[in-house]
This record gives sequence, C-alpha cells and structure tokens, in this order.
Amino acid sequence: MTFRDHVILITGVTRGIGRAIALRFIAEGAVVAGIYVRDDEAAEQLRGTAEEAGGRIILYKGSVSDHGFVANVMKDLFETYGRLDVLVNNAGRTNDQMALFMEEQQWNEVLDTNFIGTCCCSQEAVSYMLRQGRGAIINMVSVSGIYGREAQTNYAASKGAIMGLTKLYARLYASQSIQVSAIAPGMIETEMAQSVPAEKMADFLKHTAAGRLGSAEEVADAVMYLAGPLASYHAGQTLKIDGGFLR
Amino acid sequence: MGVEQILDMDTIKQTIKQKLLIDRLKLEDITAEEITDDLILFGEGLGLDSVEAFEVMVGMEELYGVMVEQIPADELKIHLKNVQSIAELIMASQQKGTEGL
Amino acid sequence: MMKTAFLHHAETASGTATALYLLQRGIRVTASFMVPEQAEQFRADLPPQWQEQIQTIVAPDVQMKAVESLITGSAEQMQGLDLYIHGQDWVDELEALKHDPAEFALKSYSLLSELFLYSRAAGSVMARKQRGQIIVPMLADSLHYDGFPSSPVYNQGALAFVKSFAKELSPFRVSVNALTFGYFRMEKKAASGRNNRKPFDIYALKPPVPELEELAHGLGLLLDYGHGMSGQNTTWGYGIQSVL
Repeated sequence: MTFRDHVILITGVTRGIGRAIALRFIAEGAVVAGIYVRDDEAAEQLRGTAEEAGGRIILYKGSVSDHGFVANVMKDLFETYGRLDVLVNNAGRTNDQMALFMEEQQWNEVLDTNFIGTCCCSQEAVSYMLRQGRGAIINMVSVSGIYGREAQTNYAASKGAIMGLTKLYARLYASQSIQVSAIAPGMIETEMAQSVPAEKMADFLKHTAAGRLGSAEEVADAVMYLAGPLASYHAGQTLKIDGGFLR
Repeated sequence: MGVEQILDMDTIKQTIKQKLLIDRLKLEDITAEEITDDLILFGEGLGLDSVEAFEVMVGMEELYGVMVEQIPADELKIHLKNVQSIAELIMASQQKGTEGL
Repeated sequence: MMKTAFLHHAETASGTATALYLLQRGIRVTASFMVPEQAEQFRADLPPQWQEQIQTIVAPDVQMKAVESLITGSAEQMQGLDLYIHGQDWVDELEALKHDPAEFALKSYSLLSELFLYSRAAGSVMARKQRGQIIVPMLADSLHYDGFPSSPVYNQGALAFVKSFAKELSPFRVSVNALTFGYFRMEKKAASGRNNRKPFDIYALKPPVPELEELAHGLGLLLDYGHGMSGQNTTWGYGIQSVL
C-alpha cells in the first residue's frame, strides 16, 4: 500500500469530500490527522468510523487561518511521527450572494477561510516537506474557480486564487520533489450541492456528460493519484473531477 | 390619505408596469394595461423568475431610490408579490425620505 | 460608443499608458491615484490638449462605502460611466512569497478585495443604467521566466471573479472582461532587435516586442467590441496562452 504509515493532514475533515479522503487514506494504512472548525459530533463520528476500521486518526479543532494554531498542529504531528507526507487543503466555505448585494463580511469570510487558510497551512507544511526532501500538497478548488459562477464571486475568486497559488508553489518546489497540484470537483453529492436549487441542478446535470453527481469517494480517488508517486511529473495543474461538466 | 397621494399611487403603478417591468425586463408579449395591480408577478401569474427578481431589485434602486439590499429576503418576497405591493413599498420609502423635512 | 471612463491606479506604468490611450480615443476620463503627488506629476507631464478631458483624484481608503461614494460621484460628475478599468500595480508574487509568506497572503487578499469593492461599485452604476463595460487588465503570469513580475494568484482569482460577475451582470447588458497583456520592451533591457526577441522564443518565433504604450492599444479591441462578449480573457500578445 502506497501510503502505509505515511502522515496525511486533511483540513475540513469531518464532512463531505474531506471525510471521504480521510477514510480512504485510513484504508491505505496511513496515519490521518484532520483539522475541523465546528462540528464536534461529526468529528467524533469520524473518529469512531476510522477506529472501527483499525485506523489511526488524530483530530484538531481550530481555524485554518489561525497561524498559531496551524503551526502547533504541524509541530505536534512532526514531533510525534517524524514526518508529514501529504497536506490536503480541503477546508472551504461558501456565502453566496449576487456581488451587487454582497456585504464585505460575506466576501471576507470566504476569502479568509478558503484562501488565507490554504496559504497558512501550505506555508507551514512546506517547511517540513523541504526538510524531509519530499511531500505533496493538494488543494481542493472547484469548477467555480475555473469557469466562475453566478452568486459566487467570493467563492470563485478564492478558488481561483488557490489555483494561482498552486502554480506558484509548483514553480518554487516541484524541482525539490514536492508535488503541488489542485483538484476541481464539479457537482459532488455532499451538503454543499444540496443548497443548489433543484431546477438549477437539473440544468447542470443536463450539461454533464456523465449525467449524474459525482461521489466524494470519486474525488478521493483523484487525491490518491495526485498525492502518490504516479503523479511525480504532474505539477501545478488543476485536475477537473466533474463528469464532463460544461462549467 | 389625501387625493394627491392617490394620484401619486396611480402614477407609481403605471411606471412600475411600463418602466420597471416591461421596459427594464424587456417583456415583449404583454402591455401595461394587461398587468393588473394584483397579478402575481413571480412563479405563477406573470411568471417572472429569480433572475428577473434580481433585475427588478436593481430597477427599483435606479427608478425610485429604494435600497432593497437592506430589506430581509422573506420580507422582500412579500413586497414583490404584485404591482400593488411594490407601489406601497415605494410610497412608504418616499414618505420616509420626506419625514426629515 | 464609449464616452466616459474611470481608471483606477493610474499611477502605475500600465495605468498611465492606458490613460493616454483613452484620451487619444476622445474619452472623458476620471483617473485615480494613490497619493496627490502622483496626480500632480501626471498632470504636469500631460500634453495641454488633454488637460480638460481628464479629472485626477486621490483614491480613498479601500472601504465599501467610500468606494461606492467615489464611483457614483465620478459617474454623476462625468454624466455617465461607460467604462471602468481596474488598473493595479503588477506585483511579483514569487518574490513576495519567498520573502514573507504571511505578508504575501494578506497582500493577495487585499488586491482581490479591492477588485471586488471597485467592480461592485462600478457594476452597480452600470446595472442601473443597463449599459457599461468593466475591464480587468493583468500581466500574463508566465512571463516570470523573462524577468517580469508574475502574479498567478491575482490573475487566476481575478479571472474567476470576472467570469462570475459577468454572469450576474449580463441581464443588464453590462460586460465584464479581463485583458491580459503580454511581453513588452522593458526599460532595463537596453538590447534591441534579435537579442530582445530571443527570450520570447518560447511563445512564438522571433515575435514583435512592443513598447508598453503600444501594448495599451489592445484595449481598443474591448472598447470597440467588448459589448458583444463577457466573461472572457483576451490576451494581447503573440503566442501567449489565454486559457490559464
């Protein structure tokens, strides 16, 4: 198993795609560490599921844009396990509104969690990865960040910025064996997709070659590829996992 | 309520029908006369959708200076029910505007 | 027909080139500068025939109400706002990230927030009038290999913003587009002719390398035909990819 005893840090771990990624790595024999900000119940549920499967999981509660907290998490992990192999920047939130009516707070909240949070975690993780001479950072963006989406100027801009960050990190670190790439999920069967009105979702699916929503597990499959040796020549790109969605 | 205000109401309703709805939304298959004061605007009746709701909100800011962004969404839904309710909202905001004088 | 324009960050080299081009096109311009000295210098260097055609102002703090006030005030003063151009300083993100990662993150965040606030204010004026164009210029970020400042975070974030905003403003017939500038003759590259073109072979064989002033003319594409497209990224230069 490629990731046996590797240490994987996943942000936004308790639900949806983050959760699926965590359980996938557990199944691969890795040590999974996760950051979550709010849902203690979901966190405990995830811990239960992971331990039942015989896996090792450590959960930290805090905000990805809190530099002190993030630094402590990684320090703790590195001191305990002596390694940090993969960082998955999955923590992200939406706060949808037409830009003309969007409040500054709605803009700031989304940019803060999504973009600043990703910067914060990446900058901390990369210092450990440079020390060990290898590593992988995978940023969860969105097709919204590639094509834009109405009522999501904040979310799209934050994800676009992360796509740019992915390129920037690759330029700096790809030659030092640190694999940096991004995944843009399309319509995935998670809580986030439930907030899309039914009529709109039907329209989206009509314009999707696969004609269905993707599963969180299908996104986790892509993470397995990008985080491992099969993707050693894959650098700074955004991989769409969207069933062939027009946008 | 004085006669003056009733006349204003009529003018407001007429401009809502012609300027706000027909002109701004480019509604080609209906005339101002055919839009009754109580015709449901969104969903059923005139059948406007959420994009057109957005256009109406911006149109109200331009034509009448009514800042709809400050109104909570569920309250706004009631105000945008039909021409009569929109006219009442505009009337109320105009009166509020003159209160300070 | 474009008659009035607001140009943000006119103090930058590309901003100045843009301002001159707009004036040449007979457009009435309001140009914002970071500090009064920049505005004064700009006026001092400006040919006399254009002095009346441009109004220079100093940009306020980046706050929603202040920005709204500035944009609506300028639109009233010019009796219209046909065009908003979000100029900004070309940052070198690679250097910034290497030097101070936390600072780099905050700077990128603030640049995107500024884009949001200004575009929102301009879009609001234009949507009410049901006409207008918003242009977000940027410098192709692949040019970092050739000593240009490179900003993939800003570029990609701004482009996603442009595409989203474009979808929202289309009912009002307001178009929102990005304009990516390619390579141009940088002052410090004193070499001319063959040596000047060689670094850009990676894009196209022996391509023409324009002056920055000539580069600004690419705006003409949008000035004349931008009403027919929205949510696009037009790249002005030979051989540079426009799909990021």
